[in-house]
Amino acid sequence: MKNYDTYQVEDFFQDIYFRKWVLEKLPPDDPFWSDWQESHPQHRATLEEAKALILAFQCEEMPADPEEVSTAITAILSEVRSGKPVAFYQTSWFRLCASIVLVLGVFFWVSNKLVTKQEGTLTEIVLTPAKKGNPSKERTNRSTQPQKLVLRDGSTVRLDTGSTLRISDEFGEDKREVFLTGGAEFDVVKNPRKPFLVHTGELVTKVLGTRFRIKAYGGAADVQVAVKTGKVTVFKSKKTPNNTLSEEIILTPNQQAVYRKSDHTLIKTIVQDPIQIQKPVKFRNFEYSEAPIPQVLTDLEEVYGVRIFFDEQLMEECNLTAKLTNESLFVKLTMICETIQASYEVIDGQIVISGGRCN
Amino acid sequence: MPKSRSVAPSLSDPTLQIQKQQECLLWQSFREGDSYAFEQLVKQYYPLLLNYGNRLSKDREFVKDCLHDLFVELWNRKEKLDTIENLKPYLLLSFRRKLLRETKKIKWFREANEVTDDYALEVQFTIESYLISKEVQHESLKRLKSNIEKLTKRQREVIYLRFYQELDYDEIAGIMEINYHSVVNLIYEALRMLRKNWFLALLGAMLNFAPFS
Repeated sequence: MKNYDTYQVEDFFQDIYFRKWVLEKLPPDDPFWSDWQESHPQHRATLEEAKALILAFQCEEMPADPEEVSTAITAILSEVRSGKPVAFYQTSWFRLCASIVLVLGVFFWVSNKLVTKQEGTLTEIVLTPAKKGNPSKERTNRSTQPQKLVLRDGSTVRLDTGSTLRISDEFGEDKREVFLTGGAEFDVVKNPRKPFLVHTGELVTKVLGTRFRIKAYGGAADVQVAVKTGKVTVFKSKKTPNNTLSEEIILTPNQQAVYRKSDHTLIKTIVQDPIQIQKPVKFRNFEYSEAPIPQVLTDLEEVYGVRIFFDEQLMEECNLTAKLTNESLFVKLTMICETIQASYEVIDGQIVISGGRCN
Repeated sequence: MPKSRSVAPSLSDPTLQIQKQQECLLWQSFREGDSYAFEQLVKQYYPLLLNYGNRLSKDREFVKDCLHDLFVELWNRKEKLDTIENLKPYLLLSFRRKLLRETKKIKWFREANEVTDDYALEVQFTIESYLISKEVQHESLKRLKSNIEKLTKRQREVIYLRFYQELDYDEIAGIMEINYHSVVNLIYEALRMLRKNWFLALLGAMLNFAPFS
C-alpha cells in the first residue's frame, strides 16, 4: 500500500501504476489517477513534471519483423520436435572453424592484394585506429584507382587517387573523427550517439549517418561537400578568423557547400549533376503533354529533392509538351526556361526562376 | 475536503497473479516434457528476449542464433531445470549470460560490434531521437542532449529493464549481476541528473519547443 501524498517527482516517475496511467496502458474505466489528480491540486506541478519526464524518457522501440520472429520460432520448434541431434554443420564449433577459415582467407587475400599490386580494382582495407604512433591509422591512396576503406564502425570511404585519410586516435569513443586531404566519398553508418566528423583544413563536416562526397585538395582554392542521401552539417573549425555560430549550414541531398579558402566564406549551392532521389516513374518519366508548368516544376522538386521558387500566378497558364527523361536537372531547367522565356539561378542551395510568360 | 483515496489499489492485482500462476504451470508442464507448453513459452518470450538481445549486440543474426540455441538447450536440459517462480527475469538473465559467453568465444576474429564486458547497450529515449532529428540549435536543448548522452550504458540498461521490461530492483540486480543498492543508485542518479537539466532546458526553450507526440 502506498501513500502518494508524500511522493516526489522521482517517486512518481518510478511508480509502475502511475506510468501505466500516463502511457495510457490502464483500462479506461480505472478512475484512480484522474480522481487523485482532481482531489490533490497541491500536487499538480509535481504530477505534470513526472508526466513530462515519463513521456520523454520512454525507451525507443526497436520493432521486430513479425515474420522474422515467427520463422525463428518455427525453426526452434521443428528442431526440438525432430529430436535429432544437431547436424555437424550447425554446431557452434563448426561455425567457429568455418568462420576462422573464412576470415583467414579474406585476410590473406586482402594482404596479398596490398603487397602485390596497389593499383587495380577497388581494394578493401580495414582501417582501425591503432595505438598512438602506429602508422596504420593513416592511409594515402597512391594507386590510380579509388580505394575503398572500411572503418571500424562499418562506414566505408572511397578514397580518390592521391588523397589521404587519417583516423583520430579516439575514433569511436564518443565521436568518430577523421581527417581528409584530397577527395573521398563517405558512406557513414548511422549512429546518432557518435557523430561522424570529417576535418578538412578549416572546414568540419558533421553527419549522423549518410552518403556524401568531399573534395579538399591542398592546392585547390575551394573545399566542396556534396550530399547524396541524409543530412549533413558543415561548419568552420575554430581556427578561422571571424567565426560565428551562424555559419553552420545544413545540407540536404543534392546540395553542396563550397568553402572559399581565400576569404573564408561558406556558400550553399547545388551539386553539378543532381541525382534523382525519387523514382521518376511516379512522375510519368517526365513525359509531358500540355502539362502546366507549375506541375512540371513541382515534379522536379520532388524527384531531385531541391526547392524551386517560381511565380505560380505568372506561370499558371503556361503549358509544356516535352520529354525530359534523360537530361540532367540543369538541362531540364534550361529547356523549360527557354519555352517560357524565363531564367533561373541557384541561390543558397535553392533554385529561383524569374521572369516567364506564355504566348 | 472530501477524503479521497490516497493509497493506491494494491498492484498485485488478481490478473497479474493468475498470469504468474499460469506461467508456473506452463513451466512445470514444459519440464515434464509437454511440447505444447514449450511452444507457448517460446511464443511468449521470443519477441521480448529478441528485443533485449538486439540492444546488447548490433549483430542481428548473431543474436537470433544465440536465442535459438538458448531455447533448444532449455528443451534438451528440461529434466534438470529447477522450479522457477519468476520466469521473465530468469530468461533475461540466461539470455544475457549466453550472449556474453558466445561473444567471448568468437571475439578473436571480430573487429567491431561485439558484446564484451563493456558491451554496447542500445537504448535510445524518445526525447533523444526528437533532439537529434530536429538538429536542435538552442543552447539549453543542446546541453540537455549532451547530458543525456552522458548516461552510462549501465544506467540505460537499468532504466530499460525497470521501465520497459517492468522488473523489480531485485530482479534487475540479479540480471545485471550487481547488488541491489547499486541498482537503486544508478536509477536515482540518472533521474536526478536528467531532471535537473531537463527542467532548465524546458525553461530555456519554452518558445520553440514543440511537444513530441
